[in-house]
Amino acid sequence: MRIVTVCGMGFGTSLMLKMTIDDILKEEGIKASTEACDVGSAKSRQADLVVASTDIGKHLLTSFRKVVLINNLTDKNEIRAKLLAELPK
Amino acid sequence: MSLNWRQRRLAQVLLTSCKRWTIAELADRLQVSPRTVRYDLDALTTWLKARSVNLLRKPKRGVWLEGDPCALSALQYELGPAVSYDCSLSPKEREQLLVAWLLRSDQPLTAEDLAEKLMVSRATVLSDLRRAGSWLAGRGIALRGKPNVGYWLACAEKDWRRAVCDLLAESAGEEHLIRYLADIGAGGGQWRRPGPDGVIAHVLGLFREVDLAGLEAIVTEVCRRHGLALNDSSTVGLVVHLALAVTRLKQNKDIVMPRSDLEEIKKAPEFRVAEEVARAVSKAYGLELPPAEIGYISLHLVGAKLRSRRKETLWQADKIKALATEFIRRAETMLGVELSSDTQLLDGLTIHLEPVQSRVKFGLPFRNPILDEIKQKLSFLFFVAKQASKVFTEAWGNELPEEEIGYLALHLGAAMERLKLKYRSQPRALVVCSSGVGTSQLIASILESEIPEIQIVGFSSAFSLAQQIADLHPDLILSTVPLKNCGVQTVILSSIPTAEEIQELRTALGFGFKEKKVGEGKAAKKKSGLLSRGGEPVLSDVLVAETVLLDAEAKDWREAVFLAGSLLVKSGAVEERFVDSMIRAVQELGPYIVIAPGIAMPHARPEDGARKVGLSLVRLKSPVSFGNPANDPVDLIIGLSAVDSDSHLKLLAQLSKLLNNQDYLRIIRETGSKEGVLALINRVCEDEE
Repeated sequence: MRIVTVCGMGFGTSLMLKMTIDDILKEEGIKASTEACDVGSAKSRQADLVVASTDIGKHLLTSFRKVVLINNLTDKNEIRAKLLAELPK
Repeated sequence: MSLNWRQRRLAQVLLTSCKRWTIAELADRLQVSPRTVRYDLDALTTWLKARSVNLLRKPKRGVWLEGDPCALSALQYELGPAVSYDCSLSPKEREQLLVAWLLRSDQPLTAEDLAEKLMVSRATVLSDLRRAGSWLAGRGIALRGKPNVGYWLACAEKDWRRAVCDLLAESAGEEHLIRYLADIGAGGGQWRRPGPDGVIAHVLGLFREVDLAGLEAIVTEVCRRHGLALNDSSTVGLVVHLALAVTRLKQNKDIVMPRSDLEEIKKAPEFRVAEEVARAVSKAYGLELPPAEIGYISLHLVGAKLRSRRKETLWQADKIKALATEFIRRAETMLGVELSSDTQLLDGLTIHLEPVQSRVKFGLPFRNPILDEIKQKLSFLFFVAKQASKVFTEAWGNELPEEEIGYLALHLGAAMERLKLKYRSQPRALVVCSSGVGTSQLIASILESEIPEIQIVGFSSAFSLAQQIADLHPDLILSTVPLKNCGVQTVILSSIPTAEEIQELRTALGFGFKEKKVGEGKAAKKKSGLLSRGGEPVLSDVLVAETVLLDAEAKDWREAVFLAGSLLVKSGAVEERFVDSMIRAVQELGPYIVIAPGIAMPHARPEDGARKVGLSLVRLKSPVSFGNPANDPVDLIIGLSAVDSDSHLKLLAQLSKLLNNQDYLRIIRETGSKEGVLALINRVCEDEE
């Protein structure tokens, strides 16, 4: 399982998202690799799941099979709910 | 000019992808001929220009859109979600549409017609109608049906209007409506323009004869003259109410109000304001507004949440203040803290309670979007507020709904936070115990380990208390025996405090749940890896006096980002060109830097002139819009500079911890001084060590 978080430049929100997701995965006992990157290079990445803010993520909908859109990047509960819904049970 | 569905779809395709399309690709995507795409692009160019978006067509390079993020976001908003053409309506949306049509129609509607309009089978419509019927029944409206005639509604005017308001709120959400009005205010045009798809357009279709911007202007102007500062959601509520009143009066459907209610509301000062609003509306539409309508306008005004205290005195201010005082007294007893001296709490509650009184007395609908969160996170305060709110039940006869109690709990929560700030430095506690030294020592050792935040400065018996207070100046007295009022906050404990008592005491002192012990914290730190890196800056290293700016003024998002960037420049973290890049990033990539409701985190790339890792924090006096529909308006701007992709990880982790915590955010937003913010930041850092 490979999760890529994406933001405009790959330094800010994508890293925040990645850390939150790492936390959630650990708490849920799920094994997956996570990586943060910028929107420009995102399309060349291989990913089973892309997580991004709604503004950025909508540019990626056509490039990836599964894109999770997050409105509030500081809300762990929103991220958790949306992430777990997409992960295989 | 308006767009046909094909042109709208074309606009959506261009808007939702950042690639540059060839005509052939577009033709393929939309399943039409290249010729049609060209014609449609011609039409779209003019239409988009009117919305400040440029449609660019360059030979060999393709077709794409360019524009300000706000304009693009407004466009997306106007076009509605792209998926709505590709997938069918959800059952809930069908139900809402049915309700909207039934509310709007004077004629019975047949199931066949409805099925055709919804593009579903007759059986589906019948089951949707059943759900619509129960939604309506919950609002006192009967859905009637007759074979060969169709379906229609039987209802009182009051219930009809309430249902329309509820439907608007449910389908569009209050924020959506506020945005609409704000758009109009900014000269963005009319609600009548080709609106968003979905239910809301059908409901808003009701108002096609009404100039909402005009009504909004009337409300704002009259309220301004009377010094009433309504908040956004109350303004929207009133405008919608007026729009409904005008529409319905034109159809000769006016509302009735029980005589006794009308007589009572006439006594409120708001009634005169309402009369003035009614006069202006009558003049604009050539309609006479009957007294009952004016009564309802007054109710809206009385029930409105105000942005600030108005100039004239409150309606029944003394009575309400007395009730608020009693409410605080009861809460105090349960919480075991001293809140009576908190004038901010009493004033805040008094202002808050006036509209509550009208809402509760007249049973006006009231929404509390954060109720679940309050019940979950402030469960104890909610319980206390609920118990203490019985004073209002006793005075007004009606029980307060949970929505109202939630806000009372928030007021208490804010007061507790103020207490917490007061005790940010270790409060000095004096332990009073009438029995032997052993008991005092036992209490002291329990307190020292369970509430390390307090410092125990001495022991005393009840009799020598006055002398000890004079000598030791304690902030707090912990006693096993009831004491007479001695001028110092006093908490009564049992000789061997139980865990519950300790927790209550912690809550009462505003410390919340016990933080991890130093040892536990270190172990966790080692494990997490992220935090064990040495030498990385922590939050309190970079967010310091010179990088924090409170209550700054900015007229738009550019100025706000510029402010946050300038602080980084001033602290030497970045070169000046970095700031331009921060602004450009938003223009190019959209308002994605608005990471949470009200919070933006603008930044640029390391190569855009970053010298070292840095953060800045700007709190705006009045929020600005970034064009991010989910999280606008923004009042907190966090500037970030990074030199590579990992040396600021620790900072980001701490930052998310800070922003993740609603209590912390509230302090950042509400504290009056920079020191308050810096103290909080230090605390967040200390928590980790």
